[in-house]
Order: sequence, then C-alpha cells, then structure tokens
Amino acid sequence: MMSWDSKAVAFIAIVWMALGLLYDTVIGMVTGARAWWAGGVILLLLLAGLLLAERRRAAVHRTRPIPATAGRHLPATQPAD
Amino acid sequence: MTATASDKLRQSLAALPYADKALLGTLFALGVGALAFGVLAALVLGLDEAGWVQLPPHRAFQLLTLHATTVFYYWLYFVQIGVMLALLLVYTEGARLTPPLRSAAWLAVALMCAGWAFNVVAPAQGAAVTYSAPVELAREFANASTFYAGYVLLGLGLLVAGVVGVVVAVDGKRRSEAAEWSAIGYAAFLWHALLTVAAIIALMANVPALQVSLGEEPFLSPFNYTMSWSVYFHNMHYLPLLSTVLVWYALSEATTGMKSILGERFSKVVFSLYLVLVPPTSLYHMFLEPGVSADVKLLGSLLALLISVPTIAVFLIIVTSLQACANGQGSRGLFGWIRHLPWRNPAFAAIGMATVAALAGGVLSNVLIQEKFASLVSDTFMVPGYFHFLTVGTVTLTFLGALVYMIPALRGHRLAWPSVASALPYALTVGVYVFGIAGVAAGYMGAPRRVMAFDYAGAAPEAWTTLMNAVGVGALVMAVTLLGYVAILAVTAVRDVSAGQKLEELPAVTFTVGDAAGQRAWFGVLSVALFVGGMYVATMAAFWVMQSLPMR
Repeated sequence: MMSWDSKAVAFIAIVWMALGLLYDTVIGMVTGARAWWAGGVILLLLLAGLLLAERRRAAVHRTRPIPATAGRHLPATQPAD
Repeated sequence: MTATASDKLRQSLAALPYADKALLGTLFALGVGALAFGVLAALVLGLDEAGWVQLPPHRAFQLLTLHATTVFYYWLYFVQIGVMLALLLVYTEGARLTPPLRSAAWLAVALMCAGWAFNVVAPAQGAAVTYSAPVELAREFANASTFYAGYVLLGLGLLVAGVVGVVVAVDGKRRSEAAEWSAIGYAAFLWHALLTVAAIIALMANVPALQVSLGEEPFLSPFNYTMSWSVYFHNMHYLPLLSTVLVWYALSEATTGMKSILGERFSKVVFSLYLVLVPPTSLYHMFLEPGVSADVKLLGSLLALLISVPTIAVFLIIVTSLQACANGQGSRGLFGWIRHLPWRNPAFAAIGMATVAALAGGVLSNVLIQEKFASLVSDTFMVPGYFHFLTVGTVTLTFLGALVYMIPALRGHRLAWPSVASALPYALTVGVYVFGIAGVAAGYMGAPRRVMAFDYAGAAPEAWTTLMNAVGVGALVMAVTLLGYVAILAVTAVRDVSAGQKLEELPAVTFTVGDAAGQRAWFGVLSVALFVGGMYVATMAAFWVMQSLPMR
C-alpha cells in the first residue's frame, strides 16, 4: 500500500505532466512544456524508487513486527522522529 | 534542559561519522568562501554605483558577472546542499551516507568546483556576460563558451547532488521502522527531488547554449535560450525559497523546542505546495517576451499571485506555534510572545530577522510580477532593490543562521564572538532595508539597472544621485556585516575560541508539548493581512511615483 509520502509525490508528478501538456497544447510554449514534462518523468522515476523501498521495508516488517506507534502519523504534541 | 526536540539537531550533527562531517564541512567552507568572494565584488560595485569609486565600464560588468554568478549559484548552492543534506541525515530515520553515495557527493562537489572555476575564469578574461548570459550578448566575447561550460559543470554537479539526496532519503525509508517521513525529512527529500529536476532543466538550457557558442547546432530544436533560461531560473530561485522555510522550521525547533501545533501532516502538505506551484507560477518570467500572447501574460499575472502562498503558510505555522507556546508560558497581548523568544541567540535572531526582510521582499515582488507593471520596471534598479531583500536579507541570512548553529555542532567548538554574531542579523537587516528601499525608489523614478555611471553627464534627476548614495551606504553595511559573518564562521571552524560560547549555553527557550494547549494565536494571521495590505499600498505607491515622473 502506498504511503502518504508516495501519494504526494505521485500527485506532484501528475500535476507537472498535466501542466506540461497544457503548456504545449493550450499556451503553445514548447520550452516550458519540455521542462515540465521532463520534471514529471523524473518525479515518476523517483516515485518508482520510493515505492520499491516501501515494498522492501514492508517485507522486512512483515517478518519483524513493529511497535504499535511506528508508521502512524504522530499527533502534533509528540516529537515525530 | 532535557534531551528534547531542541537538542536533536545539535546532538545528531555531533554524532555524525567523521567522513560525513568532512563532506558537510567542505560544502560549508566552499559556500562561505564563495560568499566572501562575491561580497568583495559587491562592495566594489556598490561603491561604484554610488559614485564613490570609478571603475572602467567593462571592468564593472566583469565584476557584476562575477558577483552575481558566484553568490547566486555557488554560495547559495554549496550551502543549501550542505544544510539540506545535514537535515536529511538528522531528520530521516534510517538515512545514512553509504560509501558509494558519499563518493558520489564528493563528485558533485568536484563538478561544482570545476564549474565555479570556469565561471570565474571566463569573466576574468573578459566575458562580461552577466549571470543570465544571453546568447546574443555572449556572441560578443570569444571565451563565452568557457562561461557556458561552467554552467554545464554546475548543472551536472547539482544533478549528482540531487540524486544523492534522493537516494539517501529513499534508502533510509527502506531501513526505517516508520512508514512515513517526518515533516523535515519529507521536505528535505522534496528539495532534493526538485534539485534533480532543476538540474536537468538547467542542462536543457545550458548545453544547447554551449553548443551555439561553439558554432554547433543545439541538440534541442526549437531552442530559445531566453525562455529556456527563464524556466531554469524559475526552478533555481524556487529551491532557495523551499530550503529557507525548511531552515526556519528546523531552527525554530532547535532554539525553542517548538513543534507545529497544526501537526506534521499539515506541514507536509504545505511543503508539497512548493513543488505543485513551480510550473504554474513560471509564466511571469515571460512578461517581456514578444512571442507570448497578451492572454497568456494575463494568466501569468493571476497565477503569479500563488507564488508566495507556501512561504506564507510556513510562516503562519511557525509564528502561530511560537505564539501559542509562549502564551502558554505566560506571555500576554498581541506582542508579548515576541519578547519571550530568544532574540539574543544568533541562529534564532538570523531566522527572525530573515522574516522581517521577507516581508518587504514579498510585498515588492508581488508588485513586480503584475504584467502591466513588469514591463515598466524590469530594466530599472527596482529589480536589484527588491531582490536583495530576498537573496541577502532572507535567504543568505537564514543560511548564515544555519551555519552559526551547524558549524559549532559539527566541530564541537564554541561559537566565536557570540554577542557579535547575535547582533549581525539586525545590522544586516538595516543594510538590506536601506539598500532595498533606496534602490526600489530609484527604480520607480527611472534609474536604470546594470548601469554604473548614473549621472548621465549631469542630465540625470538629482534624486537619483541621492538615492544611489543611499544604495551605496546600504551595500557597505551589508558587505561589512557579511564579512563579519565570514570571519566568525571561519574562526569557529578552525579554533575552539575560549571566549566563545557552546551552543547549549546560548540563550534559548524551552517550549514543551503542552504549552500551546487552549491558547489563542492571532499574530500570524494579522501579519498575513498586513502583508496583503502592504501589497496594495506598495502597488499604489509605485504607480503614484511613476505617474509623477516628468514624462508623457
């Protein structure tokens, strides 16, 4: 299952690629479109790496139970890290 | 003080392996060296623009190129990479620099050093191309390709540094027990992700420019350098904004123990906004492009208003949390909480005064990014006037605050001359305001940018001379203050001065997690209202000044 971090990176990548499309087709600005497309693709590659790391992390923790509080979003009144 | 949030940064930096400390120390030393070099060039330029020294015209443009390139690309990126990597290692569970990653980080440093050398040698040999290096101007100089080669090496260095940071964060998550990054770890990851993207975009602008300068066909077609540079520069000036607010966030915690009262998740949403808003806000760089339609420029004006939103949101989180915590410890009134804060702590004073400069810089930049107005003032001294509020008063001061904290923590030394270090942020802010207000006023009155002789053989308005003298005074104060910082940081790095002060002995407050409970905190919201009101006033003032000019 995707973490909140991965979902956020996926959202940002989609925004960049969508804006790349808009820059090209609506605004007609090839330079901008090229940059935002390239950025979106790089962000997708980073997302793939992140998902892989999360999968491997989950595999480790399936065999080694983790504390009840770990992996959950901590309330503002507690140090998160 | 117990081992709380406020101790985490100091203790974790002190516990880093020697090899990591050596890498971070090298990045900080290169950054401070670049700052000193750029400031000395700026000092001479400021005196020249005030009319107090007379440089040969070409020499002045060589210095201008050296100053801007060194400070914007090398001081800001050496120091940002060092500070963001440090925050990543401290605040990301499981993150570590494994030997191959550390070697890659050293490669990034080497590439950036090579780029810096090229970007110094080319202007020194005559290529006064300014830091934007337009290809039309570059054609005038035989060695312009050396300058572009410097930018290509810089782009490669930034790319490697960005990838290293991303891999450190992602690899840390693989080892971590927590499914989510902390807010600071997440923002540091985002910064490295944006750096990776920005480096690719930088190469897409500078490799074809290098090819053109060598008489070759650019590998991208169609290729428009001005627009490519604008998109690349947009990313390059967004990166310091994200890293600056992240330093505010981390140093607020390190010097007061404050945690966001709005929760980690909300902070992460706000940090994400920086990346979401990078592409849509980029259009305002195209206001002067004849090939861009009026409708697109209007759209760009509207979207540009979003650019301050994430920075304002982080400011709100920090200020509201600090006020609520201080009120919980007995502060009263709208301003009482401000007195509660550790203003004599050099790191806190730096980030506190950085927000004071950001207020003016933010207001003035929102005036500039209105399409109808941009074309009137883009070539005037209004531009350097307003952006020094952000580049010097906000970003540079914030990172000097980070170094004042991180260098003693990494070295285990006392901070040299702490009382001077805690006074410098106030002096720098005064210098920035004198330079900025005078420069912006001169710009509104028509004083041109990138012109060194302002008198126009006696034909220039008298007010220009007065205002540019004030610009010179502001530049002098900024330069002396920044060189003071360089001296303090250099001495702290190399010697454990007996008259210095340990980080844990510096003035601090200790907010605890329960302090904010049930407290009201309105200052942040009122500050934002003041900011928006300031934008209206500054816009009206700008039009009033320009309409009063004797031109029809």
